[in-house]
Amino acid sequence: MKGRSMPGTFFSPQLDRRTVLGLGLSTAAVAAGLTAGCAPGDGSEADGPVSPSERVPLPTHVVFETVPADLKGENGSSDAFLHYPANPPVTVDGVPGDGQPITALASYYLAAPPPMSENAAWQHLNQQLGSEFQFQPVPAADYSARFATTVAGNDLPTMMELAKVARLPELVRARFVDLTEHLSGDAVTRYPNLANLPPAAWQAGVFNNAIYGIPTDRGMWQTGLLFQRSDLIAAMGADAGQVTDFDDLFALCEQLTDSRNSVWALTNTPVAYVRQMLGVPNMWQLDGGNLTNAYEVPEQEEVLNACIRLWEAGVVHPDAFALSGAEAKQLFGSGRTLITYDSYPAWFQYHREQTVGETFDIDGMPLPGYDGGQGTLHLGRPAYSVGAISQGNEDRVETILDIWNYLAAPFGSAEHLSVIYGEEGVNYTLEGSDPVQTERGLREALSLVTLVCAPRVGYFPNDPGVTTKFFEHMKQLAPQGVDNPAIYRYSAAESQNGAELTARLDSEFNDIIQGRKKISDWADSVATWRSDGGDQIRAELEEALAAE
Amino acid sequence: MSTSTMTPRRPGRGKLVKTIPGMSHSQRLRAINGANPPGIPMRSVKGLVLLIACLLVILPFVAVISTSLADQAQINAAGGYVLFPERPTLAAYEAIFRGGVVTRATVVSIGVTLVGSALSVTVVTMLAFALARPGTFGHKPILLMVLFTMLFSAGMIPNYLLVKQLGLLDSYWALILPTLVSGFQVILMRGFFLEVPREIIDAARIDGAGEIRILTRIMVPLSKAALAVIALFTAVGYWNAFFNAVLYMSSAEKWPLQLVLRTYVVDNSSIGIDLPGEYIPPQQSLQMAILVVSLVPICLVYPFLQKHFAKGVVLGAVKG
Repeated sequence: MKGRSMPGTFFSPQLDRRTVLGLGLSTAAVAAGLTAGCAPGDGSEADGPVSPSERVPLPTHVVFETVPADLKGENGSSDAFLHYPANPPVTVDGVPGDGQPITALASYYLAAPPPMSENAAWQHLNQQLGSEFQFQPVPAADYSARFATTVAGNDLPTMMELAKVARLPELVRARFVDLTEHLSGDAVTRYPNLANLPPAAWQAGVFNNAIYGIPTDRGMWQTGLLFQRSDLIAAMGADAGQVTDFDDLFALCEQLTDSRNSVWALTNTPVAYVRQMLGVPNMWQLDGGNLTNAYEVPEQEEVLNACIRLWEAGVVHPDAFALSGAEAKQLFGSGRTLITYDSYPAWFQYHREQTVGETFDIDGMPLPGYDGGQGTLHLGRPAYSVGAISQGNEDRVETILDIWNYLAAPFGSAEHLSVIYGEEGVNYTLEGSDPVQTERGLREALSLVTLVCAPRVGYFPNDPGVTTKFFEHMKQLAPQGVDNPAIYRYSAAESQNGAELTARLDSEFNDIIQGRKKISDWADSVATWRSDGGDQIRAELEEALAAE
Repeated sequence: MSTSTMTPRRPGRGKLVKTIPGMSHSQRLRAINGANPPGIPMRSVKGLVLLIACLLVILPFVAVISTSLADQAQINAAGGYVLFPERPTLAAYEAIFRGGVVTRATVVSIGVTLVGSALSVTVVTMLAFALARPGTFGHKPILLMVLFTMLFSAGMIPNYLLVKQLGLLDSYWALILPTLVSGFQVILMRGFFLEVPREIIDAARIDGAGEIRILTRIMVPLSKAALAVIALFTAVGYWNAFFNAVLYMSSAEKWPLQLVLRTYVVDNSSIGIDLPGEYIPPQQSLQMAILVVSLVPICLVYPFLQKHFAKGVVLGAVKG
C-alpha cells in the first residue's frame, strides 16, 4: 500500500543492522534528496525561462454551464447562487475509483473530522469514489514541517498538497508525476470538472515548463478589501459607502471612534488599502521589461504619512499591531471596531458566526483614489494551493485524475453535494433545494478545499440578501483589479528568502507608523532589502518575463 | 539564677531557640524570627500586595473558564474575554465532546502521558543510577553522549527518518519513544544519586544486596523528591506535546488533545464549514472550552506533587 506506514512497536523486528545502516543512508539522502537528488536530471536549470513557442499549453478552459448562476460575475468576479440549484446534474459517469485505496495529504483549517469508521460523510464519499479515500489532514499552521518530513522520508501519499518550500520546481520533478500529457490543451477535456478550472489558476501548477499540479481555484476570493459594520455605522448617522478619497476616510474614522467607550473605527492600520488608494503596484510593476517592486515606489512615503496620521489620531485599535487574525475578527464582530481589512471569504464567515441580533450586517467599502477617482485593487492569487500526484502512481494516473475530477465537481452538481455535504438524510436535509447541514453533517463533512476546489461561488441561503451584497461588491470592484505581473514566475532567490525579506521590511514599515523609526529611515530599509536579495529576485523574475 | 527554656523555632521542626520566661509575646516572636514582627499596617500592605499578585495569576484562569461558558452576545459585549458570564451555558463543552474528537484526543493524551511518564522515569532513573556508579562500563562515553543531546539536536528530518525506519509511524509509540530520555533529567537524577552516602550502598552490598535491590530499595526511596520532579516534568512534557503528532501521525483519530487544541486556537478552526446548518457556539467559547479541558488534568495532579517539586528543584540546583 503506497504511502502508508504500518504501525510498529519499539521492539520492531525491522530494527536490525540493515535498518541501522539504512538510517545512515537515509539521513545522507535527506541532504542529497532535497538538493542534489532533486536537481534536474537533464542538467537544465529547473523552471528556467521558456520562450512562448516552447511554453506548455495550459489546459483548455471549458466552463461548466449546465447550471446557470443566479448572479453572473463579470471581469473576474465570482458567480453567485441565491439557492442551491434544484435537481443537480451528474457530471461524472460511473464510479471513478478502481477499488484500491487513495491516500491524500493536505493542510486542514477545520477541527479534525471523526475517523472514517464513524464518519457517514466520509464513507459516503468512499462509496461514490469507488476507492477508499484515506485522507490525512494536517493542521494548516504545521503543514510545511509535515510536508518536509514526508518528502524527505520519500513516503508520499498518492495525492498531496504542495507546500510553499524552497526549490519547489526541482522537488516536483524528483518526486511527482508530470501530468502534461493528461491535462495540457484539449487533453483535459477528458476530465470536464478539471477543465472547468480557469487558466489563471492553472498557471500555479506549472513547474519546469510542465503541468505537475492541479490548482485549488479561488478567483478573486483571496483579494483583500475593507469591511464595514454597516449596521452600526448607519446607526451613528454615517455612510461608509460614500467615501470618495482619503480625507473622507479619515473624517469618517474620526466620527466613528469613541475610545472612551472602547470603540475604534479601524481594527488595523489599513496599509494595503491606502496603498491601493495611491495606486502602488500589486507587488511588482512591469515597465519596458524592467520590474519595480511595490516597496520601491515613492508613493510608499505617502502611504506612511497617511497611516501615521490615522495611528496618531487614535482611530486605530491600540492593539492593532499585536492582534491575531482571530482577535481582529472578534473585535470587528463584536462591534469594538467598525472597519477592518480582510478577504472575501470573511463575508460569509462573519454572517455565519455572528448570530446575535437580527440587525448584524456588514458591507464592503468602495476603493476610491487617494485624492478622488478610483484606486487600483490588488487582486489576490487566483489559486490558493496546488495538488500533485506522487511518483510511483504512473500506472494509476488516469484513475487518480478521474477521482480528482469527481472531487472538483462544480457547485450545483450532484457530486458537489456529496463532496461538500455528505449523505442526504444523514449529513444534510433539503429545505426547498438548499441543503441544510445536520448536527452530524457539521462535524463529519471533510473540507478538501486545500487540495481540490472547484471555482468558488457566492452562496449563503440563510439570507440571500447577504449573497447579493457580496456579489455586487465584488462585481463593482473587479474592473479596478490589477494583477501582479510576475505572479507564478519562479525566482530561486524569492523561494528561499523572499518571505523573510518581506517580513523584515513590513516590520520596519510598522515601526515607522508607530513612531519607533522615522520616515527618512524607509529609504535605508529598502536599500537593505535590495542588497539582501531584492535585486536578485528582481533580476530572476525579469529574466523569466523577458523570455515571454 | 536565671532559667531558660528551649522554644521550638517552628513547631515540628526540632530546631530550638533560647527564650527566657517572662518575655512578652513580641519579644518571643522576635527571638523566634530574629526580627521585630511587622505591625498591622505593614501586614495589611503585604496582604494587599499578595492579594493583587494572586488576582493577577487567577484572573486569566477565571477569564478562560468564564469565556468558555459565555454565549456570543456576552462575548460581543465584553469585546472578547468574559469575566462574569450572566447566562452561563455549557454549549461549547457539549459541542466539543459531541463529536468524539476531543474525547478521543483526551484519552490519547492521558494514555500517552501515563505510559510515557512511567517508562521515562524508569529509564531515566536506571540510566542515572548507572552513570552515578563509578566503574560502570562505558561510564564516561555514555555520560558524554547524554550531555551531547542537551547541546545538539538531530533535527526534525533525521528524527522523522529514525521513527520511520523503526516502523513507528502512525503508532502511539512515536509519541512516547522519541522523548523518552531527557539528558537534563538524567543529569538531575545522577546528581541526586551522587549525594547518597556511599557507606549506605556499601552496607547494603555487605548485606548481600545486588544492584537492582540497591536501586529499588535504597536509592529510589531516598530520591522521592527528585523522582517527583522528573515525573512532573515528563508528564507535563508529554501532556503538552503536539509536534511529534503532526509529523508522525497520519490518522487524525490518533491526535493528542494538544494538537486538537492547536487546530482551534492557532488555526482558528471552526467546528464546521461555512455552510448553513445548526447553531454553533462562538469560536472564542470553543477555544476556551478546549483550553479548560487541557488544563484540568495538570491542575489536578500538580497540588499533590508540588511539595516534592519545590524541594527537588532546589536540591537539583545545588547538586551536580
